[in-house]
Amino acid sequence: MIVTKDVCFEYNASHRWHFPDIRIDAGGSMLISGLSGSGKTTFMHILAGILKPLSGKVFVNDTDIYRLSSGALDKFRGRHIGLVFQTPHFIRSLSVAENLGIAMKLAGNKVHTPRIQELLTRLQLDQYAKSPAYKLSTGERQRLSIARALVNSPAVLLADEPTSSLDDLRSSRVIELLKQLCVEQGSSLVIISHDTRLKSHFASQTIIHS
Amino acid sequence: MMYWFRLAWRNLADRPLSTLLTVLLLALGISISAFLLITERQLNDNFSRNLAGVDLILGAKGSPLQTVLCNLYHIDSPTGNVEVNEVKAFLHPAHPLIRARVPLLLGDSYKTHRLVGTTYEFLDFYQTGIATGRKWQKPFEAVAGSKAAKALSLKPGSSFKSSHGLLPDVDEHDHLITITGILQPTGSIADQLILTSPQTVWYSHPHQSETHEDVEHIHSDEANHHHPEHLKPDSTIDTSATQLISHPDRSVTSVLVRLKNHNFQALNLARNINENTAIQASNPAIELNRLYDTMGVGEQILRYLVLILLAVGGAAIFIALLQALKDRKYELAIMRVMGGSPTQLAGLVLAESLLMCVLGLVIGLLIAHTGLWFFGTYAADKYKYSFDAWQWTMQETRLCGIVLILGCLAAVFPAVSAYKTELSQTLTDS
Repeated sequence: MIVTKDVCFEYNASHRWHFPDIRIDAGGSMLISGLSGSGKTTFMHILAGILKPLSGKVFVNDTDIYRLSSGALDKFRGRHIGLVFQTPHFIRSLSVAENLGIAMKLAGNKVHTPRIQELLTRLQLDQYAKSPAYKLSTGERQRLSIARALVNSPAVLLADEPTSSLDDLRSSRVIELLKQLCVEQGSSLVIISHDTRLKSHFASQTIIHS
Repeated sequence: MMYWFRLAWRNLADRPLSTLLTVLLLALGISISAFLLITERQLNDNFSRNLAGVDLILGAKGSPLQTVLCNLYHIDSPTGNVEVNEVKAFLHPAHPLIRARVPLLLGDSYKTHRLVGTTYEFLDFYQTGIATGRKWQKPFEAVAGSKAAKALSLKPGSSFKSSHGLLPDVDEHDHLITITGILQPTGSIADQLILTSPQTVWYSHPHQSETHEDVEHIHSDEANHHHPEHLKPDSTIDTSATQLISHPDRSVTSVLVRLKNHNFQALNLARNINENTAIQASNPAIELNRLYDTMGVGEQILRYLVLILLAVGGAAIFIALLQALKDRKYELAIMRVMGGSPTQLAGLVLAESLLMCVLGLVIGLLIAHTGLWFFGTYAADKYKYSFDAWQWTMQETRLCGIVLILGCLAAVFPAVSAYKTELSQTLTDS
């Protein structure tokens, strides 16, 4: 579950955002949309514990994440918040499976091979388990990015423009897959996108105005 | 910990060309540094070991350094011979200042290994004994040093003909010399010599002049035209320095002397000998210090060269890490997002630097020791000077420490940059 209250952020005095309060329960999902430059990515970074807001609170499973120390917040994020970025980046020197393994290791968990195998099979990447991640196609990389975000069974999964480089069919498949996986493992899903194709997939939507 | 070193290794392996160039540059610096340091150390050790506690060398007038190099290190020609009569007082066991002495008679060799006429005290001076067989007990019997025996395939019962000077197979003597024993290895020049009695040397040179122009061949006796045929098979030999006193007209090349103590009187002994007698007393310590002083400037330059080479290696690591950091900034940001702490990221950069240093050390030291092995083979062949190419020296331990510290220093700035990775900005830029 993720809840925000009165989150406000400013880059300087002339760029101040007041973000809408949101609440997404376990297994629920929400689309946050807005025009380019409206602060969608900034809001996602605040939700992820990457960018500290000027004021307001962000609760993940009832933990006020910005009250945690820097080190504790790093570990908390690793364990409870999964992130999918518009352009996926992986550890170049590691294989597909090892990229999931390091996500577990960095979160402070033991590398659990059956879990990795399960996700790779689910996302149809099992045949690439030992291949270098950089050799995957765009769609495969996006799926690997989703697998990595889910490998620690996070409470919240945040996805920033996950479909921007995909065609309609693949875009639809990715969103449905994300929703399905989050429902299965009880994660709250937040999609941040300006992609109007996604509106039909979400009952709960919020628009950010610049 | 091992996980991070494995990841660091994978990261290095992922950019093989850059890693290889950096490691090779570092290894080059390390190999040259190690070669110079080990050679210097082993030269000093060899010089000290070959000193054999000798305080003075009594011999013919001439260059004192040449006397030292010839009689202690066996890498130069003798300055001449002196009559036993002239050194008689110093051979006497009752001399108030002298604790031990050993005579040397040089001039002949067998296949470039020097044949040294001497007495049993030589074995005490070089702290060795008989490993196989027995000591020489008659004229024309000899024992071989461990390396000489190996190089020349000598064993008890072997016999050979010695030749004048240090050139092989030139101007051979007629008389066969029989090996009766092999010496225990000492790590000193004694390993490269063949030892025999003074009588062997005296009886080998019945017709030659002591003033022979060939400086390498200073034979022992011209006045007594003894011929080997005149020797009875059971002829006795001198086994102690004192026994030489009974042959006042014979010659020796030098007498190595250990003093009882180093008081004022003892220190003046050399000056008194040089000023008041026809012989010369050379102090090995003083001569070697003079030699070191001469070589000191060169050594200093080499030390600066070592520092420059290591600094270049450190700079190469620094540049490689900085470039890798630039190329992998998104990777590092992703690692932070996944829960990696800034300390873990800095540690990863440090681990990469240390791995490159360890690789550089392994390759560099291997090159240095292999180089030393080649150089040692040449030196042993040419100068009968032995290097232990595979011996680990304290200098190498220090060098390893310096290189690892250098690796840490080179990683400081890149590690701090990784530590300070600004997450939001980096991810937005991606």
